[in-house]
Amino acid sequence: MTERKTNNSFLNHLRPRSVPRRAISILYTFCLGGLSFLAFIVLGFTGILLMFRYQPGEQNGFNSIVELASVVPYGSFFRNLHYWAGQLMVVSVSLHMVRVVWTRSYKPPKQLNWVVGVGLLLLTLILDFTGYLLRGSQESGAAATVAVHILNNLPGIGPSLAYILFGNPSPVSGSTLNVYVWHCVGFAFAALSLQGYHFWRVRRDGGVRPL
Amino acid sequence: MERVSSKNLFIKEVIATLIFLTCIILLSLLWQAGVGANPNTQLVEKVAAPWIFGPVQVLLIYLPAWIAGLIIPGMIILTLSCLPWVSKLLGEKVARLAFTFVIISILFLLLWFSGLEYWWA
Repeated sequence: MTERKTNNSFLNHLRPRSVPRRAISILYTFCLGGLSFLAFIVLGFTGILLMFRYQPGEQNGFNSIVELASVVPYGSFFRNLHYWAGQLMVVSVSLHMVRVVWTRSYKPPKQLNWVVGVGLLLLTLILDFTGYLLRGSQESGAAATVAVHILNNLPGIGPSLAYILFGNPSPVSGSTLNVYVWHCVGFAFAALSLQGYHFWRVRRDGGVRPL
Repeated sequence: MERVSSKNLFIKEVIATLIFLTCIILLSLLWQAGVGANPNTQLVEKVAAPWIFGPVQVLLIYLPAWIAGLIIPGMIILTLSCLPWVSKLLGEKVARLAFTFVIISILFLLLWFSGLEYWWA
């Protein structure tokens, strides 16, 4: 009974029956938060479709990307959708952050949600980076090598963290099983959970502020 | 505060969704996502990072990896995270100034990266 009540409360905060009139004005938010979430949904949908054909690994990564781009029916289209949704999500999340500062929406009582938003920006960038590594091209190998080198500079946990996140990437291909799992499961579900909390918190803290 | 049915919000969300999906489908049909250089062929000389990480690549060219890859990005994340408390303790003007400084620095590095990428091409 209590659990059902909690669920209803959560959903009612996400989709209340009524909203302040100012909240429906496009000029308050420019729909940037919603568009970022929509891009995330497109990324999830196209990502699942790509997973049917993609295989991580030094040789397999690049080969499966080429196969998707040139052989698999509609593979190129869904890969392009995945790529463009990723690019637009970075743009919309960044602009969303600028809008939040512009409208002073980071101030109390919304400071916790602001920190969650910064975390979401970071996760979006990490997802974009790991997606780039999964191309398995020479460029992704160089990027993975640089990232591992940077993390190795972290005292103590650096080398272990680099191994957990990237595995053993080759200098000519950044596609590894570790990167694949983090990209498709770890970071993706962390971003989904944080977005759910972020939206719930927006409503709970009183919705958007006027420009 | 005057409230309206969330149906009004829903209609606007549907319109925004349709516009966004149309744009993204058009982009996908008109511009192909690159596959990059085959790992089994001759090594490429210069590798430009994706534009999103262009600012970090510019920093990596001129600064040690631990400063360019850890300290500076870490300070940016920390500055952004602390913005509400900076605003509370030092004033809104200081918080906005800090945010503007971060954004302008990133845009400047992005412009620098675009120049480098053009030069390498």
